Amino acid sequence: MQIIAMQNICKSFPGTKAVDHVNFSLGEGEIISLLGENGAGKTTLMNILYGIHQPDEGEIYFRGERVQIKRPTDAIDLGICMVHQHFMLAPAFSILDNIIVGYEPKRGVFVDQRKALKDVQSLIDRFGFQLDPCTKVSELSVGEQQRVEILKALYRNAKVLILDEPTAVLAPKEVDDLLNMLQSLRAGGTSIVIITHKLKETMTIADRIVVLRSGKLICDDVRPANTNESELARLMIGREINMDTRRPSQCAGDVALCVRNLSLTENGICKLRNINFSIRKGEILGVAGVEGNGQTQLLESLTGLTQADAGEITLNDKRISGDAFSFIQNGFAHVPEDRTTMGLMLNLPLTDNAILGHHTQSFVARKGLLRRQEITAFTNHCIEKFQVKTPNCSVLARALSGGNQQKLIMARALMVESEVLVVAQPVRGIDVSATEYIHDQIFNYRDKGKSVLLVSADLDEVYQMSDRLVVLYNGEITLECKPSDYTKEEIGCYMLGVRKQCPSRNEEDGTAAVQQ
Amino acid sequence: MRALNKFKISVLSLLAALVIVAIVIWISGYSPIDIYARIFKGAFGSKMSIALIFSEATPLMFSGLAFAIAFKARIINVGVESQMIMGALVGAIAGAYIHGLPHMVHATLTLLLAGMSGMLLGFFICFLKVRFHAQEVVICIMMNSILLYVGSYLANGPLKAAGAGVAQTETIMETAKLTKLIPKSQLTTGFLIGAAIAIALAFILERTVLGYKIRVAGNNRIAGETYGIQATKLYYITFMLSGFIAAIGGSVLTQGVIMRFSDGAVAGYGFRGISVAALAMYNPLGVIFSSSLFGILNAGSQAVNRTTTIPYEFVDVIQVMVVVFISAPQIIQAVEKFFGDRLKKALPKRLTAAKPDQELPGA
Repeated sequence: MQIIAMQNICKSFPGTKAVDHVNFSLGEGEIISLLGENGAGKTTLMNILYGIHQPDEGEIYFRGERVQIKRPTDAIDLGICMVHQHFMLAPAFSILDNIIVGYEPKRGVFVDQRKALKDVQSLIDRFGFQLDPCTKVSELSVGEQQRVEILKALYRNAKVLILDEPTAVLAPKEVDDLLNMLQSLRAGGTSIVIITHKLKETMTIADRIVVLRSGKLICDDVRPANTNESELARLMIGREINMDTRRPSQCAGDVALCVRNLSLTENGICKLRNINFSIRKGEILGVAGVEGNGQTQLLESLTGLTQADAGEITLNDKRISGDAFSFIQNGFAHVPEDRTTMGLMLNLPLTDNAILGHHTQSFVARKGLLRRQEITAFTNHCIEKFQVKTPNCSVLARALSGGNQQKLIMARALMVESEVLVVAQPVRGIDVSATEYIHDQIFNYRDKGKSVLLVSADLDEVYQMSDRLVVLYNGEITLECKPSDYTKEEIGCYMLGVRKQCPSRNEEDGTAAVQQ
Repeated sequence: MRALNKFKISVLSLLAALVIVAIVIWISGYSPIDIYARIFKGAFGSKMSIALIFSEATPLMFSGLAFAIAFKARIINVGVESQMIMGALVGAIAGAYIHGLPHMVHATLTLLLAGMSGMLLGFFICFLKVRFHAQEVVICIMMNSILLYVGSYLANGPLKAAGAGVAQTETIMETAKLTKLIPKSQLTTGFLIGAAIAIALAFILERTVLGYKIRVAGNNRIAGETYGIQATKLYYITFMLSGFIAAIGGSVLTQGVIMRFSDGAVAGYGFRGISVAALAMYNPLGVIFSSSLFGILNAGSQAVNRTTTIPYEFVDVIQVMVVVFISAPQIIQAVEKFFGDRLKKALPKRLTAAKPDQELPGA
């Protein structure tokens, strides 16, 4: 029996048809993986189901009955709950407060705190979430916050759970925990839709796979047993895509960037402890680790946004210190973790965004005056070389899709040929073909003899891209190796602090004594 | 927002404000069409009234520019009133007590001294904001009161003109007065100075690195700082520039219209500049037009006041309503959608085809 049936759904936004006559159905106790590139329409389709958008045409049926879902409250009343990629939690409040918000059990005019606590605790126990309802959300890890979001849905008696890119920020073990939890939810009768790019998880957990491309339904009856990752990628993009894109460096040269004994304490907590590593010319050093283990502090120290308390950074034997401006002048290009808050001015045109960080370069300005023609030419060059999809260079940055915004930021960083590229989460929330392209550009850049520091919460990415990698746990480097030395599961253990590499190791051939 | 979009919101906000005030007029028992017609006739009726349009526009243009340039850096300088008072005061002092200078030198020097006083005031407010993380809006509101009372005290006491019956300072010297553009009117070269400043600001914002940095800091401070653009320095520069311009505006009032500083002289020109800036969507060149527009309303409403019992303050209501609508463009967009949808259904399809450069939501 189908719990959800969406028939002939159409939705247009100015200039584009986001969803084009799509039929979608979900059975009871079924897990569906909704695949597609950014712009394919999968998030829009689910937003229609959740009441955020209204379809131009088409009907939605819930358990066979036609329903109108005009706002998320209507969807939640039916039992349809959505967990978004960007969590909607109040960090200052406790888990309990975040879960019951809007649906508080009442005793007269007061909130019945005891009943709320009892209900939430029983949910936690029933599904084995291992959370203390009185903890503040700000103290939780990303994986735990996600569990709170799922708890919110369960508290509202979700019969249908929609998850938008749930594994984007989880470590391998946390991904396993999540998938196990989803399986036990399915056993309890919940139907689940996972919007994702992750082909591997799709193959692991989905009962059925639905693929959208350019707003149209490509197929909706593929089962993992009958397909593989390459085939799914082909369905999503419409052409062959190279899945195994390891490209080890052919020509690593001398040591370029050297970081020694870097330490940093914030608010009394030690965030970085004796960080030591070096990167050669023509080499990519990956930094793996679950978010919150010092990556942000490491990135800020290496781009001048924060001053480390101790230690030194040298580039080609020249000591580098100072503010962001100083680092940029000294040859550091930065692609920040969060492109919208740290990388772009959304309400300014692409030309203004393209020269961010380059305002002292001679091609941008002379004697304090902007060189408009050169700036336009540079922007167009970036757009062309990095295949940024946009009608022209003067649209606002806001008008670009996430993937194209990221491509612009990468173009801006790579086009000026700095010595070092510090890049964080380069393909977060980006679709498969843009990901392929961005990774390709990073490899090209490295092959010109540049040094790249790649920080990513996605172990697959670090594993695939790095010539060497380190694992950051609790502010320390707990592993330094080549990707081929360990399996991903083993590296996952280091990421979670289960293992730690002993500091005594043979420098010459890089073997490590592993301490369990 | 794209330029055309901004213009559309600007025009619709003004229309919406006019409609609301029309309703108020109608409730008061008058015909809105009659009243608006009188405003128009009153404003354009004679050469002197046209001069009045632009002389009314002049102080509004200065305070509008001051507010607009600050807003480009996301600074809300509601202290333009205080900076104008400061400028008017210093202008009156420099104009009255500096002797022996030829006209051009004296007038220019007075303007510059006034400007610098406003600049110092702007610096001080910014210092409090940066050093103590204070909200500039709160500081500015306090400053407005402080300057109002300081000005009042000086005009009533130490600087009071000998033998004057009301609170006012000595008349400024002839050499400090601004040249009139139209004889016997209040329109002076001040208007041209304001227009020149507007053009200079537009140039700085769009064509210079400084203007670029101001726009970056105003649009996304964090992104700017990630790439080496320090917001704090820009706040100082912008606040000082804003204070400078507002103070010159105050001095233009002194040197062009009142010829002295009198208690309550600036009287709201600072605040109304906020409306002017809002209507222009904070674009310096647009301020020239929006201040002229309000000049028309002000000049015309004075005519209405002579012939009816409607107080000319209702023009203030129009100006305030404009600020409300500009600040909440969603109201205008909702109204536009409401009427637009109905229009679309009535018009043939090809006239309402989607435009390719409109914004797309994130997928």
